[in-house]
Amino acid sequence: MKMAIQTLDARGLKCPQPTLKITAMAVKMKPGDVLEVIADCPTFEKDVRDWCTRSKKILLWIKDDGGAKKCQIQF
Amino acid sequence: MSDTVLVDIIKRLTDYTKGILLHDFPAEPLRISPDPFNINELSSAIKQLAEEYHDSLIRAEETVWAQATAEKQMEEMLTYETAILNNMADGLIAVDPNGAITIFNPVFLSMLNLSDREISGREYSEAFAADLTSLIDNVMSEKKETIKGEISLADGRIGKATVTPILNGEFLGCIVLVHDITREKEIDGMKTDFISTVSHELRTPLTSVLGFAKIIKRRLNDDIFPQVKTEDKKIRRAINQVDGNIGIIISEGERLTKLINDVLDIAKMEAGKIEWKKEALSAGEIIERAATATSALFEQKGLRLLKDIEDGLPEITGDRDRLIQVIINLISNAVKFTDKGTITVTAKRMNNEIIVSVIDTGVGIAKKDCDKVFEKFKQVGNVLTDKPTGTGLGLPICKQIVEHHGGRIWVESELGKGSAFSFALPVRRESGISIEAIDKDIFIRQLREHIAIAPQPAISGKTILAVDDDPNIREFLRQELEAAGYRVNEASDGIEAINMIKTQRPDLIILDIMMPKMSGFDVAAVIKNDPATMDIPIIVLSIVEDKERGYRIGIDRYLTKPVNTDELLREIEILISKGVSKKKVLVVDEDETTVKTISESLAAKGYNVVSVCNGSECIDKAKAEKPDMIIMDAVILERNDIVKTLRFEKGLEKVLFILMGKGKE
Repeated sequence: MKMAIQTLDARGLKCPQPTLKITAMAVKMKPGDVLEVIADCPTFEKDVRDWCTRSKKILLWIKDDGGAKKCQIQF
Repeated sequence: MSDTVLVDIIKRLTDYTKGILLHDFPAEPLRISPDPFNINELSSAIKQLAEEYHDSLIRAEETVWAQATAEKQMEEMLTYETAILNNMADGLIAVDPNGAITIFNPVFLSMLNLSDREISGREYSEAFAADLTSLIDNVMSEKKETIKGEISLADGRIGKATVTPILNGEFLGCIVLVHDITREKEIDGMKTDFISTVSHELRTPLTSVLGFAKIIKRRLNDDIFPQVKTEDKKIRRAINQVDGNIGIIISEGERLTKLINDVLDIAKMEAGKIEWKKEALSAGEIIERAATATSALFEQKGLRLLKDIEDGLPEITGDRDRLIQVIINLISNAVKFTDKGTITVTAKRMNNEIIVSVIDTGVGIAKKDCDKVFEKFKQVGNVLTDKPTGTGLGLPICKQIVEHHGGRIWVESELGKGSAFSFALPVRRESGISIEAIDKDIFIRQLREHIAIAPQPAISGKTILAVDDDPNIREFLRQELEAAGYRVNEASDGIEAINMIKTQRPDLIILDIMMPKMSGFDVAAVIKNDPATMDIPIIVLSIVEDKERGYRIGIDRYLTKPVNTDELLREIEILISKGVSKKKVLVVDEDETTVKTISESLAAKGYNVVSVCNGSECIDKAKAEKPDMIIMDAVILERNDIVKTLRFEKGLEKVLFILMGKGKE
């Protein structure tokens, strides 16, 4: 079954805005949905990893993307 | 402490701080020993700051989560509510306190054939027709009660609109719910038509039964019983029984007639098929008329009628005959259930209403039954032991009439002590004249009904043609009319009737409406359009009640079956003796053409006409001429208070006023 992929562009936002944005979107995600986030805040990778641990969501992958970080979170 | 050691400490402190900046919050703070510069304290402070930041981050996340969840729930609720609105079977809108339409559903749009652009955010007064606007106006100004009313929908359909104020501590506007009642109306109409048809069909056989029973009773009493000379007790008893039995047949037949008439009456009212007049009326006069009509009932039971009518009561607007009917019904009821004591009729003003009460000292009504008395066919009390009298429709008819006049009716009662039936009607608005323009046909009809009241001595030897397809009815008419001294010819259908009228020229025609080959209306039209026969009076005697149509064609009287013989004979006398009796009519209007037109048409009908052109002349002329009727312009009447002036004039107490208004602008 194809899951819906939603995207969030958090480039230019500084901590803690990107994870707060993820939190706000998380409410509308259904189990299995995927959220793809791109952000350039230096602490983003650490924050998103912590966020996934805290909220028990799966970080599918995270990688560099032209000076920013891109990741996918599965709900 | 050496420089190298110091540099190392600063480097480790810097690394710890950088880790914190990269959100390595769990990292252990720097600990050194000895610690001459209180580095450990600085490090602990940094650790504390980091933890506080981390906590607030998590709290912020929780807050955002809670807000987003609430928003999501609101959104879902809104979606759900919108879905409810959009899937409702009824039309719905909401209007804010400023009158702007804030919410509407697709059914509402299609019911009124509107697009959302025509309604969204618009003022209701611009978007809707007057029927709906006035309902909303009411709720918007009163801000209290729910009101209901019928409105026209698109494609000729009918809706019932319920307008409810939205109150939540303050007034937030109103909700309008519209339910399509076209089908219900149709079914209701079919029900009414069915009742009407059945009731009409019952009238024909009832006419024969009742008519012949009366003839038999009269024959027995006048011709047969006096001839029986025997003293034989058995025969005498049989005679008494026959006489009593036939009396029962007649009184029960009359009761059945009354029942049928009441059923038809209420069916017509419910179907809105009654033509209601709107006249300015005085409550006192209506009560007087009802009291006169019921005076015989009081004599029969030895009761007294008291009247307590407040002085200077303002007028009400309504249908005089119907309101008299209400009071007659209430008084007859009071008499029926009162064996001794008095019956009091009161009229008083309370705020903007006139309250009329009929108070008796009779058996009274149990509290639990008080509401039921206004329901159809409900006669409260013990139906097994109390002989039911009447039709059970009197009070429902009263309720229909009063409510049609914008009033209400209720009862207060105590078992064994008596009852007080009251109704309240709104006071007539002083501003403007609410008299509707009088249609000329209706006007002439009123002339016909009211003018030639005094019967002249019967002129015997006159010929009457009775036209009816039912041989029993013809036979009945023949017997009654011959007994009154007329010669009677019969025709069984319209074509035979026309031939006989042209060849034999009767002095009067009694005409049925529903006949094979040709209807009575068509026969009347032929007769009234032929100069040779147009002056022969026609009395329609039918089960069909379409007086409007009859009078338009030009028939002279319209009676419905079962016929009241006395009434029929009186009408025949009046019509046959027309021309001998010249009743006087006073015509008053500022417009000379109107005066001339009316005067000429009245004179052509054999009336004695006098005319004047203003109010003060009218009073003088009326005093001098003592007319039987005054036809006048409503404006002149209002300006000069003519009714009040003339009502107290000797010889003019019973003068009939017909007002001509300009109608509502």
